[in-house]
Amino acid sequence: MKKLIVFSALLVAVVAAVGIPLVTWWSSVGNPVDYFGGYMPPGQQAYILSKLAGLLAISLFWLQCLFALGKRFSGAAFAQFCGHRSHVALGSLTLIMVLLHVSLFFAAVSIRTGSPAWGLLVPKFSHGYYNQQVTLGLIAFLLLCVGAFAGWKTAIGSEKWRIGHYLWLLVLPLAFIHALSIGTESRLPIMFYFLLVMPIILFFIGFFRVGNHFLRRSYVSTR
Amino acid sequence: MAMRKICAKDVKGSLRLSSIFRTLSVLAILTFIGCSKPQSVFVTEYGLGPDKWATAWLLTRHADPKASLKVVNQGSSLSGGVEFDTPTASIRRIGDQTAFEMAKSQYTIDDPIVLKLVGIIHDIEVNFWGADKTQEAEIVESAFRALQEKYGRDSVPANCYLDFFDSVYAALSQVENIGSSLTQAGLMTSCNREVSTSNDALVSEISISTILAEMQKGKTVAFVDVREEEEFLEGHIPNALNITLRDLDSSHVKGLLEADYVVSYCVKDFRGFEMAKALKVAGVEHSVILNPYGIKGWIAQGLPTVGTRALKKEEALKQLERCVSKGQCPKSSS
Repeated sequence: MKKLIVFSALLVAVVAAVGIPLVTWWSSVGNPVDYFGGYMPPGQQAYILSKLAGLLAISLFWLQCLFALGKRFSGAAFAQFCGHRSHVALGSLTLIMVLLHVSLFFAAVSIRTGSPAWGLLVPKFSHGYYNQQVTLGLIAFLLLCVGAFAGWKTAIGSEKWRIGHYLWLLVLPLAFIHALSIGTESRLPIMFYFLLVMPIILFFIGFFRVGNHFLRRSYVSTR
Repeated sequence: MAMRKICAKDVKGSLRLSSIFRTLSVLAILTFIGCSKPQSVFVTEYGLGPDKWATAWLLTRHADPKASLKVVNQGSSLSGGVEFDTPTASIRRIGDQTAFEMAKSQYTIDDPIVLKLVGIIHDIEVNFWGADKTQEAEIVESAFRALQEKYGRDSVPANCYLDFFDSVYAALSQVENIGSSLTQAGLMTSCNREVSTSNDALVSEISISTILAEMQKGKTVAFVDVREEEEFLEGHIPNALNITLRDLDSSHVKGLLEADYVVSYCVKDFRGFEMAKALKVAGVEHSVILNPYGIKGWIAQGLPTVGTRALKKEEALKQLERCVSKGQCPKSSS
């Protein structure tokens, strides 16, 4: 019974994490085929695909955090669906989406301006609101790359890299701020409420996981 | 034995992970390469010769009507498209052959009117001293120079040149079909209608000089700044409305219906295009975007902006008024 409940909860989370970004994007962009038929301002196609990749990236990242936090606290039933292999697969998919988001946006701006937009890859805090928020996204991206690399190094036995994998704790809020400050679709109602619910769910799972940890420790020490 | 098992497992895991990372890197590179490939674009440096603009017209109207035209300032990067009329392009003037002739042969265009134009452009650009082979060359050249005088030699928007050669083509067709005679007045282009580089565009693009000309004529132009409020407050086009895509509703649409032009913009018009498209779908007929794109293009033309990182409203409005009355702005004014 517990297994069924966990499986259903996971299914809902996965469907929401993939479905809500897709529905939001479609409702904003309309039929994407229109963008590939007639004349378009240069780079617009890459831009709309970059938005989709961004929306999916943040949802998948949330899912990854949810699974990682949840697996130890809810026991075997959860672990059965969310083992190490799933963690690596979902993490890789998230990284692909982030890479697509960044590279497609870079490509879109480069095509539009006619020259490589290297400026996007340079942090700028004093060039106005938009550039600040792009910079936050850039920092989140760089930290995510380091975190993913650290995860890989840890997996092959280099324990000293374990701490680096915890960079996700910084990446997640940065990505949220980036999405909510300049993301066009992230404040459309359905995506906005989903983004609000995401950290709340993570907070409760994290809270229960920490509580569970202390309970287990006190149980062990009293024995 | 147990130790050996663990090691083998670790190596296997490491191989799997490293192959995932390798795949990711390849994917990222492929994505970048794939997306960097521009759509069909013809690119050249801004210039004054009839041969350049006739070639631009031929390439975008006949060789590949879906292609767009990109015109950069002298010395700027020409990347992102098929070059023409530049020292390194295959379509350029070589000896007695004009770039127009080169383009015609390269794209094997056998339209009789285009063939006639080949002679006209040759007479204007190459045949300085000999007797004109065509009767129309002098009329076309005079009309071309008149267009440059009207806008200022260095300030004729690319779309005006394309319009001009559209009217030359139409006039030559009439000469051919109904035997009417070619006149300079018949070749004048008002160059004041909304323009886009292709007829199948979802949203039309309008040059900044055209929008200034329209404002001078008293047409109402509503600017819609699609960016976030924080960006808007830092600097925006004078009197622009701040409506983000997610906030667009029927009351906004109703208010915009009466404007002659509704120009949506953002930084480089990625969001601006989306808004212009949404407005068009909602029934705003004259929903357009700027070319050069966005507030960056506006500022690059020397036009004023209002905001905490720009001018005060009164000052910006005065400056804009001056720019509108002159039809252009000095590049250093903002």
